[in-house]
Amino acid sequence: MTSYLRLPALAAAALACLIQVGARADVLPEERADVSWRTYDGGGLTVQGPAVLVRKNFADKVSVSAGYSVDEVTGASIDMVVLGASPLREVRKQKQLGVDYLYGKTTYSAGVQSSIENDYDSSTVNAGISQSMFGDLTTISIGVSRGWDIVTRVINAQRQKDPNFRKRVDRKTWSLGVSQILTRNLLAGFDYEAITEQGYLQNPYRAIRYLAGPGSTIYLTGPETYPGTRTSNAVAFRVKYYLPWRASVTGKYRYFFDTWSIHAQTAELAYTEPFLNDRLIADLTYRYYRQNSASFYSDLFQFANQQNYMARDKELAAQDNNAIGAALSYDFLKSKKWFVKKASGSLHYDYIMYRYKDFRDATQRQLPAGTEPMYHYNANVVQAFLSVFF
Amino acid sequence: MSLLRRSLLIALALLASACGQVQPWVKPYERERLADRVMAWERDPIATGYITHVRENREGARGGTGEAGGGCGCN
Repeated sequence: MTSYLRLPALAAAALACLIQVGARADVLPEERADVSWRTYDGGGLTVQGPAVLVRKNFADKVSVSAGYSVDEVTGASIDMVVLGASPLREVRKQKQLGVDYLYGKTTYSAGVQSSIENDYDSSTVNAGISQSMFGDLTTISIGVSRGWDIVTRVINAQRQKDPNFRKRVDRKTWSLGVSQILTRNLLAGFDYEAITEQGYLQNPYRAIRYLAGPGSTIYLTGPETYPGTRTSNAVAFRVKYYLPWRASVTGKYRYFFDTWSIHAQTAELAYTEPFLNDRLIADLTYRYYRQNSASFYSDLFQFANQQNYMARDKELAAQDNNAIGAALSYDFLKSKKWFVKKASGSLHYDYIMYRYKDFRDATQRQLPAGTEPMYHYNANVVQAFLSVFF
Repeated sequence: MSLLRRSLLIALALLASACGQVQPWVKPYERERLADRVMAWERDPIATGYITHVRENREGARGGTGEAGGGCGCN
């Protein structure tokens, strides 16, 4: 279980929510099939693999979606370099199935997801209801999900597991979404999501570091200890405005807080415009994210067992990141006669600059512990996919 | 009062105020622009799902990206 793969179940649930409640409540989602190849490269890790997502509607009442993806992770993150661990080669496989049922202006949704890797399995079920009202000006969606994870631990280069290590994580998610037409040019949305987790919430491989002794300039490493529960809340607002020419601008803001004392803010701006007689559509995005550190996080503890809970996960460190993205989709086939109505090729690129404010580059052992420069890295995310609409 | 409680109260107040006879102030025939694909909240679920996955694995925050109830509500 790498830091990259730490939250597969949450990601699966998020993707399922996107897929299943992304459409308005009184119309079934578009029938389409997507085949994608995506890569992530940053922080010493490379992740790449294919994904397939298919959605088919039946009798204008039922919509079924199915997805499958594989992520192959190679390389070594800074945590692994500090601990002297050998480079990673992991595979994660994810499957999902969703059903939407349309009745009047209400859509009922249900889905299951499964994510399997060598040392982390997760299963999630979700259900939701979405209702259009007030002359279709307003759509309200409510969703719940329940997840069960099994955490195990690999103990040697042959990828054998520790037979005495098997932990559980239970997860519940509640979400509320409101989408609102404000004017003939302006859409707005509100989203709230609460997540509670209970169980083994840490990474069995990651370690804290602490000073070897009073006044020492070298550090030793020891096991992390996390609380057994975490509850988080996210509140998000979004608006989308149709500009005087055929283009739109989108603004999003999210505020997040949890019982580990993490507070985070996210702001996003996007611009969308079609070109070439509507055959090409382009998006430009900018995203800013910042958070403070968890209450039990420290880059360098003063001594072992300094406190009950101790973590040195950079995900829990104070950080900010800036990301710029560009996306292009080109419709190379449009037809009203064929079974296939439209086919398009898309390329998405995101460049993310991660900057940590209290997570130091501990690989620089020539420097006294606690004086190393703050860690930072840049990541490239590329997604290429082919979409067929039928 | 926590931000969560305030947000829920505001949402409930908005819902309660909307329980009377609401006349759509944007008529269906006025929603042409809202139905344009440049106004779609979510154009490619497969791409959004992946970038959400990338972000959530590297940031402490998660959730609130559901894009729930998207779309323009026009026929």
